[in-house]
Amino acid sequence: MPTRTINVDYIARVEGEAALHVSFDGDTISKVELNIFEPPRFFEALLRGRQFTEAVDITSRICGICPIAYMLSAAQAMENACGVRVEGPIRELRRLIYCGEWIESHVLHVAMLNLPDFLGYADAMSMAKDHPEPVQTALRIKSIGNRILQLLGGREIHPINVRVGGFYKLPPVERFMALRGEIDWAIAATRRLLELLAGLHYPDLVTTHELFALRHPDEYPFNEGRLASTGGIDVGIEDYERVLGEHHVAHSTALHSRRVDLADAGTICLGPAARFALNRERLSPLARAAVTEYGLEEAWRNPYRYIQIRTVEVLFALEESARIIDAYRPFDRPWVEVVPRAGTGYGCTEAPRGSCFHRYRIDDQGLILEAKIAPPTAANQAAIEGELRRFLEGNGQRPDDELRHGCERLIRNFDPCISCAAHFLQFNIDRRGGVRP
Amino acid sequence: MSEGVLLVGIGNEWRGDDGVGPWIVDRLRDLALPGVRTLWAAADGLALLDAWRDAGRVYVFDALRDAAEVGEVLRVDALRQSLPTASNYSSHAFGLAEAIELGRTLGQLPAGLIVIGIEGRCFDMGKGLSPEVEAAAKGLVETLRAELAEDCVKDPLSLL
Repeated sequence: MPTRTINVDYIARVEGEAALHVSFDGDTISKVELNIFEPPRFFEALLRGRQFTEAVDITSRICGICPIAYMLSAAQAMENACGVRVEGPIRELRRLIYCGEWIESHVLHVAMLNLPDFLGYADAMSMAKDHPEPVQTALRIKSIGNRILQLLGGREIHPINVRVGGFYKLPPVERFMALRGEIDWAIAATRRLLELLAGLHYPDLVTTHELFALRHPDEYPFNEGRLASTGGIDVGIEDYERVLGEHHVAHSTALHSRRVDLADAGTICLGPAARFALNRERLSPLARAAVTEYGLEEAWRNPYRYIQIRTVEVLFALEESARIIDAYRPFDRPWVEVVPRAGTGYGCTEAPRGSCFHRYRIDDQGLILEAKIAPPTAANQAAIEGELRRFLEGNGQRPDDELRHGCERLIRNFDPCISCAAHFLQFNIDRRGGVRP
Repeated sequence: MSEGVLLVGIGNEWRGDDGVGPWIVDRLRDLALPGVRTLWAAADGLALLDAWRDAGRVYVFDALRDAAEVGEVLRVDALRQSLPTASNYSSHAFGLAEAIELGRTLGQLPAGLIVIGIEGRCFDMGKGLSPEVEAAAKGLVETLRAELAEDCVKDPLSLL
């Protein structure tokens, strides 16, 4: 029986390393496996025995792109374990630093990693030769995200100023205000970027994954909410693991996630599309207006349109940054005292790539006895495999190069961060039974 | 307006010879030469495009691996010559070479851009340079001290 194998050593423009194995058996696809070979990182194990105050800085190291998600989920979980709620201006500044992270991460993915797929370029470098303007714009918007992280976090990669209870210290008010003019520029620039995106061609695709994100009654969620889904789930985050569970699959060092409360549940997906589907009424004014203007109400159903949703979220994060900075007044002691007590705490915040769940059990001295961290990319692995299977089933007769490109492009729509999940892309196709392009 | 000299050290001081860039930059900073700024850069190559936006001339110091003999120094005028780039990149791994090429494409390079690489021996965890690398680094500090001081004398206004 003829066998055909195609190898792509690596899928570029995603975060981390993985391989995709595809086997055709006659006309039928017998296997689609996203094989993540980033080494396991054992964060949950090495947190045990550490002080509850250390989890913020240790988990920050899980990701260089979204450290704030890990830091704030860890801080929130520890505060929850110790019976403390952080409100007022500290909570607002936590939202501001999260804005920086979303701006930085999203705008890079939109313009540098994903846009080349739509404009027909191999990468951002070659795209920039013919289309410098979106790249220049994106880099300038990204630098605002960097500056927010530097301002509140001390530095943009693995910030050092976030602690359980709040922040170690705050910069003078003038440094906040110095960002305002640039944020106003970025708001206008992001609207132009949305206009550019509106003119692109989007392949038709409707997904059926159940989308999960935090939902909050009053705000588009970064740092707080209940876990909700397009399938009607609405639970407190302490019940996250009653609904979603991780399980090991032999072909990946990333754990897959699925509903654990339903035997026959379909695939699940976290991230901007899920947030948008469940919270878009609570976007900021200009972001909300853009949704209407560009007809994006249903964009969350089509992964190719996730690029537009990410850009709407950039606009939201910029407007939210402006709002927080305008309302900011200096205050004393930017943290709340958190005294350890024995118990379990839950934290869940919205990383750029989706809900980032932490659970810790600590003793009365504040030592961590158990840690559980569910990063968003791991949760999306099965959904990505499902989309790849659908794509390949409908396109098996196409040449291998087209399939390879199509698969890579589909994967990039989801903006997976393999480094966080590992726990990308060699591409193998086995064709048995003579299905050949 | 583009002004002054920016010295950028790339690397992680806790990974042996990978820290040679920051090591050199720290020592040049201690000389407090007029018109000279310094910067440690960690991982984000794209941030360099922003960092050198206002600089007249930029020197970038970075460790090399498997490019030369241990302790050997390679100097590249990046305005005339490209650095080899990785075939794959992401926002986690957008390195110096990619940043320079993107800057070239976008017309966002400084008026002068010198990349100086020093071949390392050991990139294991821990602080401290290998003897050959430290010797090369000390030599570079002396060379750069003279080069920058000469610039100050030759054209003091250029460094203001």
